[in-house]
Amino acid sequence: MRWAIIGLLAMASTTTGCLRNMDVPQDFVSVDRDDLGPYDVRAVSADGVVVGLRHESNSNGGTLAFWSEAAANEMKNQGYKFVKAEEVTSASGQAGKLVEFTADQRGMGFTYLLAVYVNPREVLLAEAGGRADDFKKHQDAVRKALLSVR
Amino acid sequence: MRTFLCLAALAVPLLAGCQEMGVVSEKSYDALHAQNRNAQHELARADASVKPASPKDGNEPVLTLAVVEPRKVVYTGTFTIVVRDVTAAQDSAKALAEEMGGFVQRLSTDQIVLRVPAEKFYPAVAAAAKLGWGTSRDISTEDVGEKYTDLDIRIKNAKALRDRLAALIEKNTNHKEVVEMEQELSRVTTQMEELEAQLARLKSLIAYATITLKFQAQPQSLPPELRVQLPFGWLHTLGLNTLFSFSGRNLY
Repeated sequence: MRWAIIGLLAMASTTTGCLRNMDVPQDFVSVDRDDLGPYDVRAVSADGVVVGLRHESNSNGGTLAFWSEAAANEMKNQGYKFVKAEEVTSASGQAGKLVEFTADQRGMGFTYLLAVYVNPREVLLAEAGGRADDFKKHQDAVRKALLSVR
Repeated sequence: MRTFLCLAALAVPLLAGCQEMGVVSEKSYDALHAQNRNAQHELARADASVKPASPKDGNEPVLTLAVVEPRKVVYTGTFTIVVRDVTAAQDSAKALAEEMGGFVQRLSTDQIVLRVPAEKFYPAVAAAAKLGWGTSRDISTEDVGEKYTDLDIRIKNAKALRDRLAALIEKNTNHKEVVEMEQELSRVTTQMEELEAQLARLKSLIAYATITLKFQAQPQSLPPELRVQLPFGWLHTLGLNTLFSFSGRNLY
């Protein structure tokens, strides 16, 4: 009985968004607390690829389809070039959308990855970005981290 | 005790002046200043230890209130804010400062430095935060009371010394000594003016807080009229600009 209650509480906490966590990719280091900025988790690689997890309120009751499309349109508005999108499921069983973009900034080509997860209370946004060549080296580890959101 | 200290504070500069024929070297000036400052601090401490007279014949004691000098503090803040339009954000920041009785100290491509009355520092910071999405902030407060007092005392000493030299020059008929004293007077005057400039700068920093706003623009592709702009501010902070921003600087 006790374990059933604990299990129910754990499930309830994931569905209501009490936990905001993500694995740090291999060869990445978490930044100091002072450098978190708007992120709950943020980590960098030695060659400047960055991953971050943040959350925003979903008091408006938006769906995954709504927020993932809104985010994708925002990136296009900002000049990012859409590459591809895929439906994904996080390690904790949350349905999400993973969208890939490229961007040119200051004469350099960048890759930007955005995973969007939605629950009744929050929108969870896992981001990753870096210079295209550097990002490629960490692609698998970064993808794994973005799917580890819980 | 108080009387002795008062006399000591006044006598030190006079005694130093009698040692030679009015020519005061830089070394003796600094020693003079140190002695005078110590005497004045001793005087302040003696004042603080004086107790009010006890009441006589059933009379109520006279209450004397100690005059507490307001603290002298310099407020400084530096913030990085992601905005859609840097020029518009700078215009809003300028208006914000002027509404609070402040002004723009410096304006560059992506940065603006505001000066606002010290008492408006925190309200100005709160208002500036609404200009966009803040990605870093750094606030510092420095108590400069001792520095202020020190400068004030040094200026008073320099003025007293300048006046004494001028008086001595007027009375002296020896041409060689007059020339030397005039050189010393010129040095003391220059030093006094430098100290006055330092004090004026310090007064300005105390009276007006300094707020530096560094704006980061998001790259734009489509013309504004073709872009859909949903009313959710956080959407506009997605992307590499925010992701790469650490403690006020960008990774690239």
